[in-house]
Amino acid sequence: MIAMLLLVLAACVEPLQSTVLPVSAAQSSPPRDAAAIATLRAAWREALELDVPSEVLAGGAWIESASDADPELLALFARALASAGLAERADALLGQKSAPPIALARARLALDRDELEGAIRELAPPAGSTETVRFPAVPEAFLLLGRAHARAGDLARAEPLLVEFVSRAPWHVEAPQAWFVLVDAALARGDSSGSASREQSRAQSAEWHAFYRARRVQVRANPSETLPRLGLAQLWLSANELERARAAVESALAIDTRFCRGLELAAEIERRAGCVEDARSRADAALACDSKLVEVHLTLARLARDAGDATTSNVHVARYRELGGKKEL
Amino acid sequence: MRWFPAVTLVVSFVVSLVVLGLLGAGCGSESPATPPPVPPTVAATAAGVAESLERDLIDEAPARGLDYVNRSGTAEKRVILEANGAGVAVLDLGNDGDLDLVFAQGAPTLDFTDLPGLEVFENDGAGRFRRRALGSSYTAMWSTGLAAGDVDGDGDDDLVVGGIMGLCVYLQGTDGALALRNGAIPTELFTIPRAKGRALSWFTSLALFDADRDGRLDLYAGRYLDLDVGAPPRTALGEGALAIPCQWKGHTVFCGPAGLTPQPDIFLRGRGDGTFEDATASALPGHVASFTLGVHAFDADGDLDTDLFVANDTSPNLMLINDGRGVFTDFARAAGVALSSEGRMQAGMGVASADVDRDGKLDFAVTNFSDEPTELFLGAQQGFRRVTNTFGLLRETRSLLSWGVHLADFDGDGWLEMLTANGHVYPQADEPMTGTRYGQPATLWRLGPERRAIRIEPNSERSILHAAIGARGSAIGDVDMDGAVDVVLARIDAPAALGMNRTSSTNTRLALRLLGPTLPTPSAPRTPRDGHGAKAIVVIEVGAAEHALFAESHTSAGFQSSSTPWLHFGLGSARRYEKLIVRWPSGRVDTFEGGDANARIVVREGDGVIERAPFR
Repeated sequence: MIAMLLLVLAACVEPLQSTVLPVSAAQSSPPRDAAAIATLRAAWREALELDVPSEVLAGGAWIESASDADPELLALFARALASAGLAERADALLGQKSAPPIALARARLALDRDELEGAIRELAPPAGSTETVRFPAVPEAFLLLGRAHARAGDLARAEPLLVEFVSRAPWHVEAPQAWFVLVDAALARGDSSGSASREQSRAQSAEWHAFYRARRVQVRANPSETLPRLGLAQLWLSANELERARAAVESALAIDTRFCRGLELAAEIERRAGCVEDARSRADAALACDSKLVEVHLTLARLARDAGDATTSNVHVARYRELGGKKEL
Repeated sequence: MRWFPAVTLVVSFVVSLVVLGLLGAGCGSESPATPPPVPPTVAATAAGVAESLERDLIDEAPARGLDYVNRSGTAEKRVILEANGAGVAVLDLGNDGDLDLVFAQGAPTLDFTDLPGLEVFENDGAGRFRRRALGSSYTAMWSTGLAAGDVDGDGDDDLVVGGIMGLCVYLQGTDGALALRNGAIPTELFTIPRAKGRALSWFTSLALFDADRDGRLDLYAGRYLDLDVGAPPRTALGEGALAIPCQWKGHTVFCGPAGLTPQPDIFLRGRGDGTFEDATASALPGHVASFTLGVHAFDADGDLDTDLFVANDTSPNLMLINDGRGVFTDFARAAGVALSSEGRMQAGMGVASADVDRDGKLDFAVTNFSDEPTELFLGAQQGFRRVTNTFGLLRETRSLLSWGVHLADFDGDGWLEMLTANGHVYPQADEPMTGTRYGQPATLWRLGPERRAIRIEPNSERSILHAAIGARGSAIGDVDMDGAVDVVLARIDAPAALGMNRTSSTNTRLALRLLGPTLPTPSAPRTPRDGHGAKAIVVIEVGAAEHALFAESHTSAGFQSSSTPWLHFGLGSARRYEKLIVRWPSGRVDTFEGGDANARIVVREGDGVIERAPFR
């Protein structure tokens, strides 16, 4: 318990550096330390997710001659090559290396070529294994093996793999696609209630990702604007991904320290993270910034409630309602 | 259940008719004494030999007098209006039995001051063309989609034309000229009420078919999106901090369709005299506007009436199932054809149907954007089964942006090929690292019997499969009456191509035209005069080699275009066919004895075979 508290406190005083808002996909030489590698991975991943493989290719020309490149960077670069129509160079880059990201990238290439058996061979567990995939620690392995089976028409095999994938990586950018196949799998089994429930999950996931994509595009197009970053923070908060939400809102506040709605959201993020003092100070700053803010009163009401101060909580709830707030305490 | 719940699954009439035909003692024909040799194409691929057969689609447009040149705005393509190009119709003008051509046409600029008419090319009977004046009675507009059919029931082909601002009907006179039929379409359909004023209709693909089996052709007209031609969005959608740039792979491109307002499609019921009434509300209850690009009318569920597949851009496709009375319900999601295999909305463009796997059920293909496959769906016991990936079509087509599509037996071996007309919408596709190109040649694949798409490479630099020039509309038809279907491509900002089907194979063929009765039958259901919706089975060989080919007469395959209603069967090495069975939309079934291959046959309901002639 104490350890957990310490972790929370640590998270309160030192917000994570943004890995959802990478600064640049360009890197003239191999990144040296873990932080630089993590930043570049995030940047390349985002470039691929937003279908700008040229950013990866332009920013990572060094990788094809590097002897000890990070396997995930190598895999992302190979995916960028394939996406740019340079699949043969991707093949050469990946070779037969056995690291999980490399094998996954090979499986993706196989899927792009409709080599379904090849993708299955790449990701199926070795004979005698009790695992369902070759790399059970990597959620994407479940996705890709499930996808290969589904494309081959074998929904029965695909289904458990994709169930595992969405439970392990619910916010993965390809989660909506996994949910879609799961809906089909339930339909194929005649499970109409299961398909309806999965369809609801698919729709929610798809909507969330559509906003997520749009917000990232807006951030890239208008990097000095705070609103798209606020939107990103709201999305992550709705996903209960507090560290990512905090990183997004802090990036907005770094642009404008008097960004009132950013302060308001930061207060709620800190409250949800258990950082009571930070939450209070951000809420106070938000109200000082703009006295007509609505949601901050709900945050303050909840903080007071959690501190056992019902009177103060009621005051804030009343103000919240007065300003048109509808949510329950 | 992955199918159309309201539809009682009717066992395909094809199966029952084939069985009936086999059992009918009086209908049989002579049996060949020896089994037929394996067609050479099959032998070659079975042996693992790469496709190198002597066949091609040679562009003979200039030599044959086809000098149409498309204009679709500027080459820079800064506005979405400039991207979709024009369609082409293959139809018979003059009722002389050969196929003539009509092209839609755009304008060189977006100021709409120099709007064109249609461009008409008359066939001399040998596949050579000369321009024919449209006549004084026409509507000048930026035209896009065309649909041919006998809308006034007088025994010749007429033409419906869609475009920016309008939809109009041209009726063919006794001299073969197309004349505008004033008042044929309710003009209120040309604009759509919006919160801010009214938006101009932007018609794309059209499909003529008989929805309610009353013998009169009806019309489904697809519409695309609201566009303020005077001030189109150019580099971003939205304003201020939340503006979204219009980009593709990091390049600034024209905006849309995503982020723009889609327009609802319309359904027009034909009165049989060349005029139509708006029946959208009753025929398409609950219709939701989407970015329609392709429309294809065919019997998707095998229940003998005609259904519709609507290919939508950046929105789910529609599979509109007919209740038999001309009321349509969308079952695309239940049928598994609305989205990609992983639930992504695709950029549906063109649609074509035919019996690819020779099981007596219609299958269909839908073309899509680059990085998306041309999808292939096989008719299954219930609904459709997606076979895109098992046929290898993601690998084959993901670098292409495809528009028109046709499923036809180009080489006459009895198995269908798939042809797509291709070309990217963004000139920026030629920038490095996009994985695709702006100009793309047409592409052709064998689809059977291996159940794998095998690309057929061009043998000549004059092939339409070679020239990397983008195309949009496409249509097929046998313009030189040699029995083999040819291809017309309406290329964008470029001369049209006429891909003449040249093959050295000795495969035989049969061309069949199905016509409804000259005088309408007393009560519905009736067959339209031009035979839309009629189906045929050709039984080939007997004994162990016996097989049947199935086809439906429709014209809406492709993109914004209208293909021949003639049915073309490849008989492989057979010298004759053993039986012909026709199912008319009226419900009547006719069975005809076999005959020699390499013939053009015209069959009219009630009159039987009215014309039989050898190929030229």
